[in-house]
Amino acid sequence: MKRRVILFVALFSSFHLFAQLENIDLGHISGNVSLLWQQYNEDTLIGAQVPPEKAGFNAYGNLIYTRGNFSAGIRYESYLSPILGYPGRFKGTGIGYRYAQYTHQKFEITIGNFYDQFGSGMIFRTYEDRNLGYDNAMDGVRFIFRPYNGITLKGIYGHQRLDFDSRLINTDGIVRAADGEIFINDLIPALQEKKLKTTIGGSFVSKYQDGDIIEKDTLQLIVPNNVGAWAGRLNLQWKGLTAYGEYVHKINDPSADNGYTYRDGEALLVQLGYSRKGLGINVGGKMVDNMSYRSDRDLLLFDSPINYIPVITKQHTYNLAATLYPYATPLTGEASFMAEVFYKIPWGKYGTNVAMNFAAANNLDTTKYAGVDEQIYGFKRNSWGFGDTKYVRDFNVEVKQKFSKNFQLKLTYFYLEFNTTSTPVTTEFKGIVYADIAVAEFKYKLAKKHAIRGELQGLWTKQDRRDWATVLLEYTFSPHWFVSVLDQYNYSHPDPDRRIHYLFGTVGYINGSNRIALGYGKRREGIFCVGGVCRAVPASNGFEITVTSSF
Amino acid sequence: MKMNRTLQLITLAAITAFTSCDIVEFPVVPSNGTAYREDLYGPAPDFSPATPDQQVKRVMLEDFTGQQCGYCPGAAVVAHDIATNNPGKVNVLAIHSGSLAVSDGIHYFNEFETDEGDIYFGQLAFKTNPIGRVNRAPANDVPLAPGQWVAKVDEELAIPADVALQALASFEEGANHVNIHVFTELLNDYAGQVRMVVLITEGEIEGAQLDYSAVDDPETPENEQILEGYIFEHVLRGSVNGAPGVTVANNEVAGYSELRSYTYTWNSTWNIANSHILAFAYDTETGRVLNSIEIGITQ
Repeated sequence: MKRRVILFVALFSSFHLFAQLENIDLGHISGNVSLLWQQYNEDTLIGAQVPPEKAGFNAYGNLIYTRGNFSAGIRYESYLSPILGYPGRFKGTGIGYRYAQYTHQKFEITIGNFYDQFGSGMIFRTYEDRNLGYDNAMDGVRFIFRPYNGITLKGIYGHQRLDFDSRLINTDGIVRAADGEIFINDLIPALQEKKLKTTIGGSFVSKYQDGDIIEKDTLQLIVPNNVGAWAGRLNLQWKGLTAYGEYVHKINDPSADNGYTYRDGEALLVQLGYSRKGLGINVGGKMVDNMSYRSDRDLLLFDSPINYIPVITKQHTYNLAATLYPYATPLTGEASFMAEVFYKIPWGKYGTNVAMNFAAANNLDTTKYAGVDEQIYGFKRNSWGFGDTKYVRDFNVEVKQKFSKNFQLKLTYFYLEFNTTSTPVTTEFKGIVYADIAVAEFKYKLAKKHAIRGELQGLWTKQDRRDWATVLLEYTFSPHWFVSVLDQYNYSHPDPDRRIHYLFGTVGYINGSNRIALGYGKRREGIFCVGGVCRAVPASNGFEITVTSSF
Repeated sequence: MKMNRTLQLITLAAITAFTSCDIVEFPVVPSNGTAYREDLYGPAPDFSPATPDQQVKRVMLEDFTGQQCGYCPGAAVVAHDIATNNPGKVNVLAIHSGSLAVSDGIHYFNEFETDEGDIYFGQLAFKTNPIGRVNRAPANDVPLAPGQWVAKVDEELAIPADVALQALASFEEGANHVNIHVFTELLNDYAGQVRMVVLITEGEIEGAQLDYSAVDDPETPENEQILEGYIFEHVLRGSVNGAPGVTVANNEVAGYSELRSYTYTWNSTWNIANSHILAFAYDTETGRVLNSIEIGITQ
């Protein structure tokens, strides 16, 4: 009898406990997974090499736990071995990103890894672009304080991600950063309803890296261990008008990027815009001088940049324009200008969308020093304007017309003048490439659930590898299946043996937030860019499987 | 209370800002020396603007010479006479450089060549011994024969000084350090960059010197023309802040000044009592020497 009583009490207690647990917020878990597997065949025609592993595999999985004001997460990464073109030193499998974050009233604290940006990013920006293998995540502490409505103060302290070898590897350099932003209209109640919206901000960033003396020719030079930079920014909005300005100044920062010279760095960005229904106009100017800023002065390319220099040209998406001559701001600097207009011509049932964009960038207006000063300071800048070396001219006009609910056509023309010496996107030509590019894209809905999209692209130039054509056909059977074929053809390469078809086919299946695709074909060597950040991708030939999923 | 908290935050931010920037005015490490050791010797001394007496123009006479150069002793006499005839206004610098300056290990044993001397000798369009420069005028690369030195010195002395130099040097025996302070002051507005060089010279060094004038008979064997007890003066021993020196002014107005201080580890093979600090300021673009000063080292 006694045992029965004990059993009853125990069972009752358990039910009671479960009932209580059901009322408790245990939080929730979300995440996503992406896999990329590539198999490699030898292809001497395109110069495709086969690594010893004969395949590459990149995988990422994010797990995020959220409960109320608390969240924590990890990113599990695998490079077994990394796909071709990725930083080759990435290897192994393990946790590459982990963090915990807590928000309480006016405070927000993050420990571990995090991404952040001050202003346009010219003084501080950490971010990840998985397609590029770019990740300069902070690893430390971030403190955000919002003392009054409209005021946001941030403090950051930590290392930066550099590498991955079954675990996260950071640089030795320490990054300290502070940012303040004030939205005047929120801060001052009397201005809340005013049409003029004003935001001001200021930042200070400093990096510490131990160093002593560097030798340069016959000179021994003292290395600054602490390199600081500051920035100020202003954002104004009035009805349809917007204006944004940001100035950044960096003290002496000898580095591999600037040839270990000691000139201060400067950057100025100005953007003006106007928009109303059916019309948008944007103009902007940018001057960047010696603004490469890394937590390790000896690193190059994607390794541990503290800041980001926005690119002045439009980010093209069409294959030929995006991958043959993608522009990225040279780290030594540039003076640049852009203007663009969007206009919807209000005729017919759907109207016609027209977009025009022009961007120009040159080197800086400088005079080279002589003797010792050249070794120490390199050059002096004479003005904020253009130097005499052209970096890029990019004019493009796009006309998009919807003819019916089933058919849409977009025509785009590009004119490029591209300096392959300052932006070395090809090894076969050094100088200015003059290229015309034309693209016709159509979307046609064949029947319910059946749609076809096609692109016809041509690039004509007398320089480099001469003329190219691209054809893309993509057939979608909603909601699950799609198949596409892409052919890039360098049909007038000066060497007839290299007039190659780069044919790549893909078939895929989509189910909700899950997607799997199988591809096969030749992948052209080239430069792959996102947002002005680029990486070289070697040629390859073989199968490819991609899987993405989120929950 | 809220204001106090804001002020505290601003103060914290300011402290962070000012402690997180290493602004390097001129990054070149002084050759053969180090930056001034304020931790050992306290703050550098203050200098007052130059008095009229301190605004005097001095000329630097560089005598490119060599111990195996038979005509060089004669050039040294010319230089010595110029200095004697213009007391306190001519600073002689004997630069042993070129093929006749080397030691042969048989008759000539002095090691007088220096990296700095070779750099200066390399600036000449025509390299021989003896040859010289007077304030590096009319240009950095134009050599002057000893017979031209007197007239050029007079010409240079007649040009008013654009720059005044003051200097102090003291020997710290315990640490074998020489502390050197050079104060450069613009007397006029100056369009261009001015650099300042600190050199060490030593005199009264005994050694062998070929001297064709020692024996009148040209048939006399060469080894009988070697003066064994020759006394070398004004010998360049090295630099404290590198052969090109450091920038002390850049398009500045009259009254602008720069103090440069150094703690130099002394080479104990040099006789400090016979040594001097020679500092000179020059125009970076043309190379012309604007003024110079030579001082002894206080012990």
